[in-house]
Amino acid sequence: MEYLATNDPYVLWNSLYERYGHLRSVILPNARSEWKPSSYKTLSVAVAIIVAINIVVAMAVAIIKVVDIIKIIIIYLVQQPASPPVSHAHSHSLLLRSPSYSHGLSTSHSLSLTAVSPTSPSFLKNSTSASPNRRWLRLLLRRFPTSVKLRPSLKFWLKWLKKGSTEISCERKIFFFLCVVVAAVIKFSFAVVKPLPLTSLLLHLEMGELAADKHVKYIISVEKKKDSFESVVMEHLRLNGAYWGLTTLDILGKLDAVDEEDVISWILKCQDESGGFAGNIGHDPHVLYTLSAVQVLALFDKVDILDADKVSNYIVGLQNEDGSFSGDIWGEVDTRFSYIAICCLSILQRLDKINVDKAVEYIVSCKNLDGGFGCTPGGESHAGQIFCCVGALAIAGALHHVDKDLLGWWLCERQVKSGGLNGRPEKLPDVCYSWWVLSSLIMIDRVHWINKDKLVKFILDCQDMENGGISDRPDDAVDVFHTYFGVAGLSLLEYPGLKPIDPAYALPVDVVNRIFFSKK
Amino acid sequence: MSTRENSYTEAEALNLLAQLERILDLDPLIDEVGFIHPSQFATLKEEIVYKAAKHAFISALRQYKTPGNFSGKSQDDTLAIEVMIHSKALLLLSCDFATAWNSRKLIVSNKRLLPILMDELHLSALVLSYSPKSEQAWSHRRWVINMIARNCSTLQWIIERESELVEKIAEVLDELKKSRNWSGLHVADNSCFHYRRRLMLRNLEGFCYTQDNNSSGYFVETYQIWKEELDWNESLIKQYVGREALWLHRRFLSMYLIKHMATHLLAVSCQSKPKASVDIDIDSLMDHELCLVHSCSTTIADANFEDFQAQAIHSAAYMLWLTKQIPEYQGIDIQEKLRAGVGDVTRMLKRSCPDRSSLWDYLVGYHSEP
Repeated sequence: MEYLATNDPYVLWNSLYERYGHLRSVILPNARSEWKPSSYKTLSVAVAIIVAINIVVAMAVAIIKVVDIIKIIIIYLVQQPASPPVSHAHSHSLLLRSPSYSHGLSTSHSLSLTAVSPTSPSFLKNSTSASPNRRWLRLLLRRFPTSVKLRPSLKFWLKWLKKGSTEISCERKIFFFLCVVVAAVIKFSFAVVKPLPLTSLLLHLEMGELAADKHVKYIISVEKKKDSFESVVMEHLRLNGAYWGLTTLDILGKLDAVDEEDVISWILKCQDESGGFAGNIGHDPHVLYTLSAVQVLALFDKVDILDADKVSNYIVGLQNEDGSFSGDIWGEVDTRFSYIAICCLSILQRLDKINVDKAVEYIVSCKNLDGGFGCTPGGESHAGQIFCCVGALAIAGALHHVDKDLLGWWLCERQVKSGGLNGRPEKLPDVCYSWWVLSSLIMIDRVHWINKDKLVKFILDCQDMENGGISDRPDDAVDVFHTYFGVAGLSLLEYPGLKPIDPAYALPVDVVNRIFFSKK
Repeated sequence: MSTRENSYTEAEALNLLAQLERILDLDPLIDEVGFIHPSQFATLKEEIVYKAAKHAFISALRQYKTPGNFSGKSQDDTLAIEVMIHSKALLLLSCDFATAWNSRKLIVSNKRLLPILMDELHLSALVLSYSPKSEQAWSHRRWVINMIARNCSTLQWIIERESELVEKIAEVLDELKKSRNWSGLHVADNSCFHYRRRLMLRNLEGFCYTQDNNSSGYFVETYQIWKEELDWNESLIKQYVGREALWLHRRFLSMYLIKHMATHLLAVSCQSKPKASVDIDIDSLMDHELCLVHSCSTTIADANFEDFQAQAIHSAAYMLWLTKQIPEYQGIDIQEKLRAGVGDVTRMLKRSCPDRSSLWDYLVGYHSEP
């Protein structure tokens, strides 16, 4: 409605850009990744066929040539040029006696030989020196089980070896023509293929692959395993775990592997009478779990089963006078909760219920000199907090408060030598920061300041290729938390086969589009 | 068969839980808890004890919360005590069990007595001794301290505004001195330098408040502190080669020194005679910085020493930071010097840190714009 009130189109444009500009960096990669697989399929298939045919033909020709060469070599090994008669006779007798050469003698062959005799090597006929060599050669040619086709090529090789007549030149011409055609076809096919990610295909082969199926299996096993000590100890944040696991499954395109009804009924049981959600049934409510609940319901497109007003009233009641948000009734203040409030209300489409300007003012007061954001005013800059603040400002349409160059500099310095990202200076890299730092960089449009390929390699190195799941660092223990952030990070880096994810809402783009752009 | 097994272990579990609670009760001064590396049998027990503890806690809490039970004060108290006992056992097993912490907050907020609040601090310290990253424990501690501050403020007498300010500043300087030794030993800890930055900023704020006649004297003192910090930082940089946190601290220091001190210097030097001992000259400051950068950025050909490479990269990035942060009117010769240095620096950065080449390009491009 506010758009109708503004007269100045420039102002309108700016406010629209502020509110939705971050989607630009998300929808374009989305379109590109949709195009890629289809082009991948058609052209790569064509290329594969061409290359295969070429290889087969070349191999066949090569085999033929090799066989001929072997035969020639045998001939020349057997006969001896201008040797004394004694040894010659000796070799001849050897030839006749060795069984391997006499097996080919059969009437049919002799028939074929006589039939082809007009085309027999001219040099054998025309030679004036009726040496014993020639006679034996002729004999061998008759005795060898050569087919019609091979004899001309055999002739050619003999000619080449003996530097003889011109009769075979046409053969040579045909052969060389074939070679040229094959070479041209191969060159053409590679020229066409070059701009496509054939090279990145090779790069992927080099850097390892995403074991998507293993990760799906791992997540499902975690969901089922409720009795081990680890899962029992984590039961108070099971709703967060549900969000991490289910969003990962959705990005991998396997959300149907879980029972939707089961999950939704369990989530609804976690709702408290105040409207907020708890981490598990019977626990106290908190905004952390409220956001996860709303996000999971959005994945299944079931946000409307909630009483949006009840949930939003719970959140609205937690805003303080200075614009900050408390996590629950006990009053802990953190910019994370500001992000949660703004994101959750935005999904429920009740953002107007809170004082957005005050909330933005509080977030901006948490900005530090290095361009980053802390958990409270004056708090140290931390990648997780930065994600929350930048995401909140993006959703609220207030990204102009961020010094993008300064923050981008701080964020890109988080990349360490191994390619991974850390959360603060001097810390070790961790896969979860590949989401928080990366999504922040995308929202402020400075993602080209890091090396994306190295980051992809780092995330893929953190996988457990045997049992599935991703850990915080290579060769550590896996958990659902880092699996989600690893896969989400890869999605932001446009890894093939993954659904694109919105950097501000941390939900797949099609889910976000469904919330905002579908008519209800 | 399995049910019999379960019931057997349930009884055993309750027994174990009672044992744990008895231990905790007998010795309230336990301030450290450690877990022996669990064998398979031990983890089995742990899980069952956890379940028993949780069950006991939840039933106690439900009883406490149901309004019908507010009949007698003594009953109320006994229920509260039960909840406290069970939540304590539960929290030692699962330190992030927020509902348990919340129940304790609920009971404590009904009583609001200092010894009870101190007890809470004690428990949170106990939990943090073996699980220092437990967010819920820290949050509980913060809440308790807030409660103490809120409820016991009437006991404190109100200090006069002037002396309060002085005290604050003195405290800040004291804190700076105290933390300096610790920071010197923990040069890779960015948080400690962030803390120092906050202290220095607080110091600066204090200075801004006292803008009167003796401002120049105070200004000199503040300037001394900043200069001292810069020098100390430089000695650390030379000593601990290639530490990112030190260079980031330096970025902040030099930026503030040049931006805020310099502007005020211009105003002050016009009025009163500048103290002879203080040699405040922006040019010399910049010169000094450039020399430092040069000395650090000589890349040793032997690239095996990662520290020296890191030192070079950080010093070069620091140089680019300076070029970006210095406002335009600060003298032409400085600009010249900077421009001369920038070319080499960017070349070196692109070679040794090619991942961020688009950042270096952007920064240099920005700088060359008039």
